[in-house]
Amino acid sequence: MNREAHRHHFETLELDMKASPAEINKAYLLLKDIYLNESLLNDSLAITAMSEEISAEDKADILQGIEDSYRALSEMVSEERRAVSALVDSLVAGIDGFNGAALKEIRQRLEISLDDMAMETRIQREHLANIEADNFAELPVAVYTRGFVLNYAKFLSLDAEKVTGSYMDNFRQYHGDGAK
Amino acid sequence: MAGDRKHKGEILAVGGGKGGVGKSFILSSLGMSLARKGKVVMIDGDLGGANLHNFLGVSPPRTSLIDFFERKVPLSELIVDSGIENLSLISGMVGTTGGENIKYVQKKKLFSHILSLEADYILIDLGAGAHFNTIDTLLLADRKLIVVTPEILSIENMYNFLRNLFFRRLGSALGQHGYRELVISVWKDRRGLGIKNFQQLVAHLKNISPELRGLVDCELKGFKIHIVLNQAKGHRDIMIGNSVKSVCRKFFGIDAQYSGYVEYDESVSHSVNRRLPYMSAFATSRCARSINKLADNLVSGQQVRIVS
Repeated sequence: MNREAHRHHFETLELDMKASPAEINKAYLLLKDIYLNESLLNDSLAITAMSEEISAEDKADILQGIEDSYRALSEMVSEERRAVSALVDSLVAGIDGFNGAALKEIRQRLEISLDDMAMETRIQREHLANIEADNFAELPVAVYTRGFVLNYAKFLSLDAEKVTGSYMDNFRQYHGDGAK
Repeated sequence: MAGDRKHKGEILAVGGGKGGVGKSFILSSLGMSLARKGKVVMIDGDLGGANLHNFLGVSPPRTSLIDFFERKVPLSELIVDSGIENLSLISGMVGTTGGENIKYVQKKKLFSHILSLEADYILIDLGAGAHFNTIDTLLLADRKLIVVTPEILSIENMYNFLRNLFFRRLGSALGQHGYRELVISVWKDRRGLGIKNFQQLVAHLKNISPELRGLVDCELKGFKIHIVLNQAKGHRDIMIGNSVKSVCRKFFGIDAQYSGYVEYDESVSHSVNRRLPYMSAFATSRCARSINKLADNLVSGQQVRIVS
């Protein structure tokens, strides 16, 4: 998709270019709701106040534009997902055990910063850094650490069970097998 | 923000078609909220119906814009303390015939004085209606706030106001290229030309010549407004702000932002009646918090996040 078309689709959905896939979906549903205007909900006041100027054709045109832009952006999102998952597959291919260094490598190759990750996963940045440094002494008890690693793996679209199993083996080994 | 601004403070002005939608309340409350971030000067530009001091709980100042127009006192000498830290006020004219007779030269002079005021934020309250002095003052602002309530008459009024606002601006922009008469005549003869709506009017102008097309496109793109929905009584009302924004973007082609909503609170009229500054009397109310959020959004350029 060229840049101009790209910009146009975001503009049609009234989003800025940094909008996430979830925001794209939400904006689409909202706009459809506004311009379908079939309910007597308050939401339609903004259209009703212009009813003398807005013909049914105008509304149909707008809806078509919204539909087209949403399809184009959805296609773009799926393409990006496919590309990311292909990249993840290739990164994971040679890895046997998921230690901190391996996770860090994958994160960096996906160009995700620790700060962004902390914000999205709501895990403290410090914990994430400790996970990547295999800094087991500073990590919380097993049940919490396991949860953090699980979310870490999910966020990078890795096989969460496999990553957690492998990482927690190392964690338990460090603390002695009795650690919970 | 416009790159060629030479003035120091950021100018925010509140306009809107109808009286009673809460322009003065929102502006005065925004002033109090912004005073936490920097130095604020509020100007009561509702000439003839000045009442901004009431919202701040102070008595009518002795000096006002009337001294600027009639006694040629510099604007900066008319600034009075509001009793609130970082916030001062220039009063409008109480009980005079109003600002509709202000001459062009006087207006130019007032604008140049406003631009040279020493403040981080300059807030201008405007009267209701679409008189060209009101519109010109709004057009001067870096951030043009349009207040609307979740009622059909208020929304209709706002659309009308926007049409006037945009055509005034287009008229003066195209006027600089020798098209002033053309814009005025098209606007006047719109019925005869079969122009039923704003879009068709814009399309008509654009089809006259490639030069006009370029100018009109440029003006539409550069015309940014901030929609503020007042008296929101719940999620549905909040969503109306979003729909109004969408209509402004799609049918007017204007860069409209939904910068914030203000929650309905019956204490607002109580505090106004008792001349208490709402933002300090009800500092922790949902309404006050929604105003703080609006102030933050205006400074950061963010919009209302719709969660559904």
